[in-house]
Amino acid sequence: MDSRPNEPLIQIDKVTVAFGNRVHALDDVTLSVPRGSVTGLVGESGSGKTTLCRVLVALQRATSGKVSFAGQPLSDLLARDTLGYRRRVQMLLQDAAASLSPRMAVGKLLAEPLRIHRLPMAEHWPRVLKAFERLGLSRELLEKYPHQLSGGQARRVAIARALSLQPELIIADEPTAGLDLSIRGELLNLMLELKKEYGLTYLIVSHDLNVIRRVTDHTAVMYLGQIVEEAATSDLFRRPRHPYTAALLSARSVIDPARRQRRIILEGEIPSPINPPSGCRFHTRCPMVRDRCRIEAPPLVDDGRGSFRCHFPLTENAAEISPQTLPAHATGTVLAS
Amino acid sequence: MIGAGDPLVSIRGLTVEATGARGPVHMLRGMDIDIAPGRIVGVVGESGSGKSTLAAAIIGILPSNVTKVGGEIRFGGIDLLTLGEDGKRSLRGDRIAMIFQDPMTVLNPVFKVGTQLVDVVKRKKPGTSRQAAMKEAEAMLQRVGISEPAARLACYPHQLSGGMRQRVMIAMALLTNPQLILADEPTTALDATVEAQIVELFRDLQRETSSSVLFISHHLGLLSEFCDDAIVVYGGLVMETGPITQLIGNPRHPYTAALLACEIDEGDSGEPLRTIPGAPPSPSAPLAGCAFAPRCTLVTDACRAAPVPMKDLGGGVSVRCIRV
Repeated sequence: MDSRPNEPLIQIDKVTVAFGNRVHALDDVTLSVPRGSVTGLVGESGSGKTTLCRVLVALQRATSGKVSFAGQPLSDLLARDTLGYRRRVQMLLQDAAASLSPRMAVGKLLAEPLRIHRLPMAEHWPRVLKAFERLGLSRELLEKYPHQLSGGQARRVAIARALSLQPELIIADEPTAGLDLSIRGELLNLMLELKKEYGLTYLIVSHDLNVIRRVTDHTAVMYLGQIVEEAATSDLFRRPRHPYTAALLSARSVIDPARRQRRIILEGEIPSPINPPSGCRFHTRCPMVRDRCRIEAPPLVDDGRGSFRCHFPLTENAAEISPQTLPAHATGTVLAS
Repeated sequence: MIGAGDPLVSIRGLTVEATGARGPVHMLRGMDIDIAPGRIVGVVGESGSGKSTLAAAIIGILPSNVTKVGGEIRFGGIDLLTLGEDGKRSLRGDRIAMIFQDPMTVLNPVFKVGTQLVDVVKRKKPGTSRQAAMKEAEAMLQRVGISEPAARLACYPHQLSGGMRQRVMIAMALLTNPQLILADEPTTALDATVEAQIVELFRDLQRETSSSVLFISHHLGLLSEFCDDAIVVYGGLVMETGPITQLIGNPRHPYTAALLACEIDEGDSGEPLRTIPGAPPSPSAPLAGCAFAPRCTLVTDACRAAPVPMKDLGGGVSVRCIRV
């Protein structure tokens, strides 16, 4: 493969996904995922994370815009060899147990992708077994059915199944939701080790900002079909520029009371994409909204350290969002609404 | 009636045993817990530690394969375990309410939200007119942070978002003005921003009502934000209990410390995450010594020899560890 080292594995340019004429699930999304990186995708339910993943696994066609994979347009790759593309991009679904057929034993579940992709069993099966054991799963599990697995085991089986095809990109939707803390740690450590061993690139979708902070290199924050901020994870957490990012960061749980920030409680919920707000899409919930935000949609600004969509980005001094940087009403309680 | 200073709930030696395919399953192995009036008490532990069984035992909805329940659960002086079904029914949804992880298990999909809330009000106060009950429901929705409450009353549950359904369920629990609210992982399925809103709601409730809350979670970090006290459970036993600030600032049990170490709210990308090697004890095997001994980094022979009793360290802190 002619992959240059710094070439992005995925390049998404101004992608829009519209359902009918009214619902824009994705609107002008631009994102680059470097090969070998771990990119995090965060945002509330309804922000478009899943639609973006569906575009990448070729379950949803972009209405407009361009998606390239390893330097080639996605549409060309799919036209030439859809199955071949799907082999290179594997997705781990949030409900791992439900993604495994309840009627197949684990061994058969692992063999199925090899059969679908017409890979020679004799050659590949030993490798699958090796991956299976590498994931800390004992061979006795091959005879078990999905309902006999624990949550952590089901997730490992799903990972083994994805790895058996030697993909280049793994998209993981909420890989640790609902797991015990210790098991969450084990699974994430394992995923990062596998990344090194297999030369993988990850796109991780998660609500858990503490997970995103620990495992990703880059983070893109989505709101109502748009990426509102994107930066190196450490920069994003140290210095969020979009007020929505700041609110999300303040919502993560912090044990040490001394380091706990005042929570910026966003009022209400994400608006419907059928009738998105005028101007900046976040203006209805933004604690720092001004008149211009209601009228004029902010363009995507790239300042070399990342990109954001905001007329009045938070400044350097507001590194740790403190109540002083926000108007008094912004940190009110939910009961006030 | 209970006197001032008495706990609202006092649980002593609570054991719950069920029949499994391979013999008896020990879901709870003898729990002692006190819940003072007006306190928010967090219960934390891994899957299978007995958190949900504890709540189910208090409200009397243990699964049907449970064969033996021992010990006592005193609620305002009444022993819930010896209480008949009629007695339990009059407590449930009146003095004890429960909030579940999935609101759709509670909300009936074919009735409007308003109808379901009115039913709760009328059950509590049978003489109330439908109109007055509707007004009360509307005020409660407003109080739990639902905008346009009048319009929401006319909605079916599926027309509401997950966060809103969770608020409706909380409103339903509060309408009965209970003395005790049992909350079983009510924010696990919600977005982080909505979780923050619900946590804020519990904080406000703590100030405004005199209800005690037992809040179950597998996430100590979340509990630390709004609980007064915490109970760490493991293998069907209480390992440590005390004021949450004590528990987090100065964990005395190695399991509490290990749970805290698994929190990842500090540190940057690249460092491996901390884990607790091994797995929780099987509920079908008897325990010889300390339940946590096989996974404990500080284990000694004495830990494996005999069951470890709970030790009262004063200041409300009790720990089940031979090292303290």
